[in-house]
Amino acid sequence: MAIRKRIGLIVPSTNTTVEPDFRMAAPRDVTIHSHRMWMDEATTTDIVDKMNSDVEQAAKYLSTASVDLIVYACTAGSFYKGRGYDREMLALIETTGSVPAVATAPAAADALDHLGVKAISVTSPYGDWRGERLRVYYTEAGFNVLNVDGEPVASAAGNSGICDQPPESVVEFSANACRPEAEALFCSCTAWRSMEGVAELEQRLSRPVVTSNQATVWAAFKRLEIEPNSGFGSLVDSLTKAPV
Amino acid sequence: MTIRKRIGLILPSCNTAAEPDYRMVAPDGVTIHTHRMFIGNEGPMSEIMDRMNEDMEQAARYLSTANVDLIVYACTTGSFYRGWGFDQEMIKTIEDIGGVPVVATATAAAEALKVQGAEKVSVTTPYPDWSNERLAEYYRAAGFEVLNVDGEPNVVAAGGYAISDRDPEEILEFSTEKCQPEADAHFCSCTAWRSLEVAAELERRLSRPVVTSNQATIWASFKRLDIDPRPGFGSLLDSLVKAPV
Repeated sequence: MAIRKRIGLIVPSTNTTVEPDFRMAAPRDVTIHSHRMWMDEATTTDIVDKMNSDVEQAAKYLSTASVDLIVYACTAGSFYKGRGYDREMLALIETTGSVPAVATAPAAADALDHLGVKAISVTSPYGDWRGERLRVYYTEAGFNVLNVDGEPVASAAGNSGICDQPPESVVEFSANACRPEAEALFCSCTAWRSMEGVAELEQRLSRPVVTSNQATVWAAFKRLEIEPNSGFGSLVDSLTKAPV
Repeated sequence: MTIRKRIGLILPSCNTAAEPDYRMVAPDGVTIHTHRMFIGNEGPMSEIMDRMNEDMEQAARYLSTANVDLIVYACTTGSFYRGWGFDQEMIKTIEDIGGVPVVATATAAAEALKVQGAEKVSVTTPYPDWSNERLAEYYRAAGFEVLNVDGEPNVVAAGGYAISDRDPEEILEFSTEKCQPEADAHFCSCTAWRSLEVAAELERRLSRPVVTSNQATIWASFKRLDIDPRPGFGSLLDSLVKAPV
């Protein structure tokens, strides 16, 4: 039996969605190992600064686990300071961990590029500055951001409460918020349970759907040549070699 | 869809066996969330363990923000090396910080061996002598007759960071060979060692109960949270399976 492929995840401490989403998509011989950055119920930019001050320690700890790749799995934490900051963060993780790194905000931009879309609708659980920062980041990345709509129940539930919203509610809200002229829908936030609803959303909207965790899984698996479990949307299914 | 049950794991940073072991046994509707304690690879084991446990309180604090239903301290040596009683202090500290019930591996394995009716136990490990000696002291203080504690030589030579790289088959062969005929049960110690995957096969070969660190820890966690495990990971865990196997 060979040594399994190992993926290290850096997640906000309140987030309970990234770990199960990676596990759902990962085949049996790929193992997922995580470490947390401090997050609480605050929604200021200060708390994101504080969270990101844990990145280096997380990369150092995960490197002792001989992981093959380190994933920074927070969308707002990688887009809130704009294009460029995400690259600096990736460089810090790669230097500290001595392995390739993937971060959610650039992974989602790469995913949307890969799908060949320009005009996008975005749904999220953000009810504050994060929606505006998202728009700035993806506009800078070359997309025409038609709308960024925050789901009100999740945005009122706090950072850990986002994870409590069932995927069915994410699907309902996102199906209604996607604009007719959008070439793709992007469901942002790694704590939001959108990946479980992505196949249904694609069916209902008849266009590609990218979610934060799905794009992050896609970028990580592509880099490590891992064949995902199927059923998490066209983006991830594009990596499946066996017939779906 | 209801909110899933959440288990928080506090792990040595180099351990890559506990998370997949939990995942293998957990049904849909149970999610696993981790924070790590830094573990070094040089110097005396007592210092490595002391340094690691300095991170325990931070781990409990971070995991508590994830609204976990239980926190697990998943390191055997880290919970036995200071003797019977230290583990209870550790559990109390984590419970006070996390505000949820807590399970620790060394303690869970002692409970598991008791539930399996064992008095005489054989033990295999990936440990150097120092850890094996501390292990014997702890389980003797817990009331067991520890017949032998054998460290598998290949992994001992490879070092602490390599424990999770070892093949489960190697653990199976070594443990089959080292279990004493008079043992009531066999214990494979260490949450980084991939023994859970061969626990059922080892039980068949030895015709007696086998307890492993992750299996006992999962058993104690699932019992506490009333979770129905997936079958096939040994008699201890299968005893919690409600549906017919």
